[in-house]
Amino acid sequence: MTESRRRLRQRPPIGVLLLAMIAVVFFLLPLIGLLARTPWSDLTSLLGSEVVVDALALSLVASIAAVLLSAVLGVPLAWLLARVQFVGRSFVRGLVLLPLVLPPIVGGAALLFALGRRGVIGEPLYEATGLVLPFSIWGVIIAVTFVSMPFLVITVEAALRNVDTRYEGAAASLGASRWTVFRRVTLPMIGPSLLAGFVLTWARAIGEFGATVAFAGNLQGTTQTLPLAVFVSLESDRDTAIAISLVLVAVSLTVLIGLRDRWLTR
Amino acid sequence: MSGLVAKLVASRPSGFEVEVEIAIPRGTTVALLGPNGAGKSTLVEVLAGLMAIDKGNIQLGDVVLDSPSDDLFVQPANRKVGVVFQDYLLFPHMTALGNVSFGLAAKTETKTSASAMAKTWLENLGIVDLAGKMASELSGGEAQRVALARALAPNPDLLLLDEPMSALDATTRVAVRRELADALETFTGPRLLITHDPTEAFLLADEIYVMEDGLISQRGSAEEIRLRPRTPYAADLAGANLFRGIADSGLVNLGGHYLQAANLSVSGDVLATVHSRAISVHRECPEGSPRNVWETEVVRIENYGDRVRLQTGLPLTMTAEITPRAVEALDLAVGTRVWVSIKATEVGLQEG
Repeated sequence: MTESRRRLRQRPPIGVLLLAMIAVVFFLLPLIGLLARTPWSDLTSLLGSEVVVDALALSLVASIAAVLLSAVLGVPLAWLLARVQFVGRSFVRGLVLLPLVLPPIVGGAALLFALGRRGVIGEPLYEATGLVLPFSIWGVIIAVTFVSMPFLVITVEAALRNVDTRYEGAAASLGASRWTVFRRVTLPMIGPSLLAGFVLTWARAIGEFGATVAFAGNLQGTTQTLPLAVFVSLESDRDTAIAISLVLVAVSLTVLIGLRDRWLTR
Repeated sequence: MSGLVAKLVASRPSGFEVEVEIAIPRGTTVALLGPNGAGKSTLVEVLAGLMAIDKGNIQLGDVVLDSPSDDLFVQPANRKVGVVFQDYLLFPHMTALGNVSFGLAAKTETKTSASAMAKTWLENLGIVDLAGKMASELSGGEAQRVALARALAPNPDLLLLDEPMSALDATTRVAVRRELADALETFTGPRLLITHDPTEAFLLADEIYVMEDGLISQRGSAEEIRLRPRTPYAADLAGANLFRGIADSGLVNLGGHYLQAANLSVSGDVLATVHSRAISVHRECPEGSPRNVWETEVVRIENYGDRVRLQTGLPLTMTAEITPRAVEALDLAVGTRVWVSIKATEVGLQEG
């Protein structure tokens, strides 16, 4: 009697199960479509093509650079937003969220007006140093960071708000400097969130399209990332487009699954 | 004077204000006893430097820790104050050893020597077998010991204990209290114990400060507070009559006077408690079930409005709480001969 009742309680409601299954199928279908159309026999030669190799290298470099830049700049910003009461804090928070809401292509255009060769900052920068940011790998990194850093800031800020600050007080009372407190107590305590933030940031960075194309252009070997390469070959060479898409899926899944098993579910 | 001397006003962002004058000589334990929200933890924070005071000053030995009028404030990291925090606040991502060596690493040369010293501390407290356990996996009693080791390891000049036993269950509390008493003995600086448990304060402290609504309402020895509580709160705290004795099959020897307790399982050194409301007062020798009956006289009468506290004299000084109408009906005054009776079931026993 008790046993059957226990079993009953463990079975999820049929309605929930049905809707969840639909959601899974919805996520699975595009993947199936992609795999069904994949030209498996030509795959190695397609993936070995210069376009694909260049784009893959650029995407990896740009997305990792975006994560590193976000870590260096975004974590201090998140700390400031979470811990310090200052005038204009809600304005700054809104500013950070803007790239999430803005169509990326608008963000890219805005970057161009600011940092382009004729831009508000870009022009004096060019005259002073001869540096041109757009249509270079730096342009890609800037565009990708602009769009993806908000994910890290939001995640880390929320995590910092959830840390019981009394632990930091305890660490300080034990003689630890502010930096030691942050490094040895705060950071480890927000560790899982920090990692989740990195993954989200990286995922957003590797898939970035609009801001990159607007700010950095679409030059193969210089600024053509994987998503841009897919877009171009979708018009001309569908098999290459599919091959690149497959690379994106594989890289993303590998990172997500690898991280999830080792860190996120801890 | 060596030790801790503080006279301060501190306020919370909420507007709640704490005004305290406190002096703890070296080698003495002061208990700060008060209800939740009295401002006890605020005092811990100002002493540890996690919060600045508005007025007054805090001096530990020769060092001024906080003095707004002199624009002086020593950062928490530079104060030699060891704190056992409420809920212990052990760093959950570190081992017990890691927690204890944390404060040592901030002060000493190398990580290895900090580790070795931390291990010695764990050995001193008899918990070296916990060294490799993650802090998040420690039981309440274990965490309390590790927290104490962590606070003591950097060799502080002042020890603060913020509700060190409130997170423990009743059984663990008795054992831990005894250990804590020993540990307090070995610490030679001033010691401040924050608690809302009168038993804890009465047992561990040399002097008790009662704190209510941000102010010290009374200070004195346990005996003074128990016999002459000045506020209704203090009277409630003092409600329990507390005696040390030796129990044998329910019979408790309190230095020549015997109390019969219903609890037969505890023997040896014990702490016997009788609540003041559990004591009945009679003019004639009562007949009936109460196992403890004796004749004495009324030594003191204090009126608290809806209740009256009577202090009775030898052979066993006790405080009884009765109603004003009972005082009237029995025609009680200081010096009146009375009989007191206590049921054996009202005599609480715990190992002491």
